[in-house]
Amino acid sequence: MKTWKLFLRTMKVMEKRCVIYLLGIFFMSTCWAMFSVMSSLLMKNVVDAAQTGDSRRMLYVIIGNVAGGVISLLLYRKAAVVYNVEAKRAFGKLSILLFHHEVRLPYSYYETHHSGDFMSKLSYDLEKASSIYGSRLRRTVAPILQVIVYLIPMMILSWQITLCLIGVNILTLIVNTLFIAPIKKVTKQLSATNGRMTEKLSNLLQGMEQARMYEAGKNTVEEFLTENEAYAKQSNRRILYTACLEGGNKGFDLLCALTFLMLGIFFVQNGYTTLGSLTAIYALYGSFSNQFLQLGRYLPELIGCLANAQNIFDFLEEAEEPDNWYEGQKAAGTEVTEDFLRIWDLAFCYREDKPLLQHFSMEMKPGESIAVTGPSGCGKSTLSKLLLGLYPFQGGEIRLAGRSYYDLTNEEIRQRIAYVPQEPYLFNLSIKENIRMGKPDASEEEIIRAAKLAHAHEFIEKLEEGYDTNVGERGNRLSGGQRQRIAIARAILKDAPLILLDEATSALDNESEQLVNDALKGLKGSRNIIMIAHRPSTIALADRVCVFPENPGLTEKERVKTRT
Amino acid sequence: MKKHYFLKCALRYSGYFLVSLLLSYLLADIIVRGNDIIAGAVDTLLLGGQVQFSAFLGLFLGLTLLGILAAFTKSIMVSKFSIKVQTRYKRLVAQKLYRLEYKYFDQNGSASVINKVNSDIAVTDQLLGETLPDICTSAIELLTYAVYVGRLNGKLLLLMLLCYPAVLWFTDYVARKMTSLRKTYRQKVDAITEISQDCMSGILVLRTFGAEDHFQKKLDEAAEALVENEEKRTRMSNTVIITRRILQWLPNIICAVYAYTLVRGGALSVGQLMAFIIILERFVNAFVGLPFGIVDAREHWVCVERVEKILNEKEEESGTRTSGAGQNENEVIAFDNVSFEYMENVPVLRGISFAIPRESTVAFVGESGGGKSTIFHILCGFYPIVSGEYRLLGRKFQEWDIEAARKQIALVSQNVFLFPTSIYENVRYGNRNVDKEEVIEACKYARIHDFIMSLPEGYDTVVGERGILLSGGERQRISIARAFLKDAPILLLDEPTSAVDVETEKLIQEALEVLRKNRTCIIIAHRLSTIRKVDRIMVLKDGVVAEAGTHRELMDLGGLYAGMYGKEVQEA
Repeated sequence: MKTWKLFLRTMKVMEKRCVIYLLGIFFMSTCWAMFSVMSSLLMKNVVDAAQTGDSRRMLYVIIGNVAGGVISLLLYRKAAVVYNVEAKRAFGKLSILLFHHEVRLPYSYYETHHSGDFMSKLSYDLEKASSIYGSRLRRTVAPILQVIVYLIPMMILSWQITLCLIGVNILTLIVNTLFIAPIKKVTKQLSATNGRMTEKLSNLLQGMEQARMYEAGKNTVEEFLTENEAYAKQSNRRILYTACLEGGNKGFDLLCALTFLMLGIFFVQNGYTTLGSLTAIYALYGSFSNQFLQLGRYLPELIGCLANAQNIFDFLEEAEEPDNWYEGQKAAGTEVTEDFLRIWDLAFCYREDKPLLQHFSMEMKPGESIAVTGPSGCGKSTLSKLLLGLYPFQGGEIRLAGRSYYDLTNEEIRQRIAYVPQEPYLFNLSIKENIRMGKPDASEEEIIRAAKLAHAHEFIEKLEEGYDTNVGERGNRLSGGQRQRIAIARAILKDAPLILLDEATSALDNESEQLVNDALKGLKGSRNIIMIAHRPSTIALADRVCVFPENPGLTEKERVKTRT
Repeated sequence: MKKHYFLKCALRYSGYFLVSLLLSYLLADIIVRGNDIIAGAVDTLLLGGQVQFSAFLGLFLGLTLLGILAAFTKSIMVSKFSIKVQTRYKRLVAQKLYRLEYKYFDQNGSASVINKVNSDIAVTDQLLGETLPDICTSAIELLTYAVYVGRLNGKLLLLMLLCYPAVLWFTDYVARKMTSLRKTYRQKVDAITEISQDCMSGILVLRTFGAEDHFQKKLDEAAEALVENEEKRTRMSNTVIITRRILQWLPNIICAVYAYTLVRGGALSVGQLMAFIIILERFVNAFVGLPFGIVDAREHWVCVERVEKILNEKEEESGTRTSGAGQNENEVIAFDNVSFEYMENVPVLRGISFAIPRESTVAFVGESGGGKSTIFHILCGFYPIVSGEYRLLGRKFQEWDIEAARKQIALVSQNVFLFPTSIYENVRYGNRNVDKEEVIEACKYARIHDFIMSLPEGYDTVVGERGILLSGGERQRISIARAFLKDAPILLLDEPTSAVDVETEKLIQEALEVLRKNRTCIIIAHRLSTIRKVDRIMVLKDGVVAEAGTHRELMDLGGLYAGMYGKEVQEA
């Protein structure tokens, strides 16, 4: 029952188009079978005519059969096109549903679920689930429909022979079913061994530098070889089972021919049927038997894929990030000041037993630049996540440009902040598109101006395709420094009142850091800048330094640094 | 001379395959004989005679039994052949990968090599276990049936042989057309997954810039493109499918009608006509499968060739000597006029010379791209030098057995690879012959023990894929622990470029202090403040040593080093 409901839910994804899709499956299966029926009827007519010698009648009948066959195929084509298109549409729809949800989860979801893990799991589930539309359902249903289409003419031609043939087929089916479980078991063992082999090989290749420098690398190769031998040994059992199955099937095939022959001749001798009908049944029997043995075969796969669909539906149930974290809560009501940013008595923890920020306060005057520093784990990066509204704080208040976070939607908060993360992620698009992300309707001039301010223009111009250069997967065609400067250009283009840099220079070499720092110097004064940083050279850029204490959040040491 | 390893493996076990071919023939022959019995019975019947079942029942049962046995043995032979060849082939590949020139991985990227090797080898299983036997079985069946039809009537065989090649040619053409269409489909699907993967990896940027809708639109477009492409593809491919079906039907009709006229003319009996029609069905099935099998085989062969290419790649050169020559205290490592280039005519090192005395510490500094990392690559034997001489422990590096040479060197590098297993196993990678105590001791030296103990599962904590769960500083220290376990006389240390926080930096420096004791140590330094106390500093510029000396000496010299140092101090 649960499976059935799940199936209905899977079909519902297609909405109204589901009907067209199902009709597609129906006609695809039946028309294909009809063609075989026409083809075997043709043979029947030839054999019957050979006995009677009525050539004229044979001609008409054959033309009729050919026409029937061609029409069946044309209908089949129409249905197949509809079916395939609808299946892909359903896949697209499911992908979009999934994506829409994926990018709107609370940020904590991405941090607690390793992005690679849940993405690969989801895309695996998606592939499996959409294979329901693309093949699994049709494969499960088609044999049933086709067997019916074959059975009708066979029964009409000679129900006695047909029933006997069905009997032998059922026997074959039983034997085949008996072998399914043991073969599956062996295959599972084999794929486990194979998995271990793959892992060994991946370890060897990914850590090639280490593999060559340590003896353990050579051991990895030897372990691989041992598994390899084990795999060969384990295969023996599967080989035996498969061979039994092949032998059995061949035997039944021959046995069927024998039954058919004896019964057929007996019936023809006694006038129950004609030689032509016998030929037609035999011709149909091949296709019938093929489909009959497929009955139920794909059902477990379909059910398996439905389980994958369930995973997707479950995922779609996960709560999305709310528009505002503090819906219904009242602002703490800190006094309104001239300050550009005012953080007051902030409290936050990821886990209740481990408070991270307590009574944290900080102010920022308009146009000021502040460097935030402190030992790792003290909550610097968390502060930037709170500022961005990625997590709700549990007490206190933040006011940005005069407005409280209690009254702002997450979207509004993020519009006011241009963020440059430590890992300057670039999307697999052109440089231009990556910068434009800061301001979707930006003109070419605006983009170039931002790039110039970020000291990125020069190197971009030197690239063969300039601003249209595709940056590659994760921006890997550019160096870390180049990526970071593009990320800064993106932030500049956004033209938000606050620029927030989270260890933006820590992964760079000295040269690139210098260029990035030059870019920051140019921005100072015109924007408020918060830079979370370690490097003294970066910290030196700020008007003021805020040092996070080792013991988080109890007191805030702030010292005004006199600039030289 | 290029060797074809796959063919060699296949030939080695070809006995199994030949037996399976023989059995295929036996099976086809059994069907033909059974069919012949039917034809005879039908004709007896039509002539008004009574068919004696008992006369051929025994014969038929015998054939059935033989068929079962043949099918059983054939299946075993085919599988054995496939497994044996595969096992041997995989062994060759794994051993090869370990000996390949290091350059190969730089050029190809490990991910692509892994994909290639894993998926391509799986394909060889299909090729040997299914495609190849299927092709051969089809061919043998065709021959057997053709001979049978020829015995029935020569003209009928001639007609059959005329009709079908035309169909064969067409289906081959069609099959090729279809594979090219399939590729575009894969691309469209990949486009969709790529967009969402890209967005997930960059979710932080995506979210903070509110670009959800932008990508949603892109995805909508990609899905629309997929449907559009599918419409084109499926129209085309289904037109092809039904055309093929009709064309394949045509010879059946022609042959059947011709056989009919033969019966009317008395050249063929009705029983033979029936037998012919039944055999025709099987003949066509075998015939239709053949071109597809060949197309598949061709595709599979591409995979085999790809693996062959790896097997034919150059291996690392290795000498035979396993120990150094006459120990010279002042020369543990020496470069004499060494030149090197990754790409032709783009020299990275231009005749560089230096000697490093025993148990001294030497640091290389210089701009990125100046050749610092290259020197490490050469020291570890990842790349052979172009000219000059590199001596390790007084022996030319070319004479060294490469594994023995690497035993002398412990490398603490920047990009530490952590295997997706426990921390314990990861540290033990440095030396498998140690017990838990020694691993813990090494971790204590490396100042990582306390951190490991703070993890919920301690040493049994599994580090994620590529060790993402650990920070750079933690990875660095695990690498140091490995180096402790390896206990090699020479230590190569590639300092992390990215800054770690002050605490971690201190821990790492402490660990290195211990590790450097009684070892010859070479450091690539990115921050000059860490190397003030080393015995000798070499400043690389444009592939040569521009300055060398102690910190003091170089500062007094007031050259490149002094300039770099001044800049760093000023920044701090």
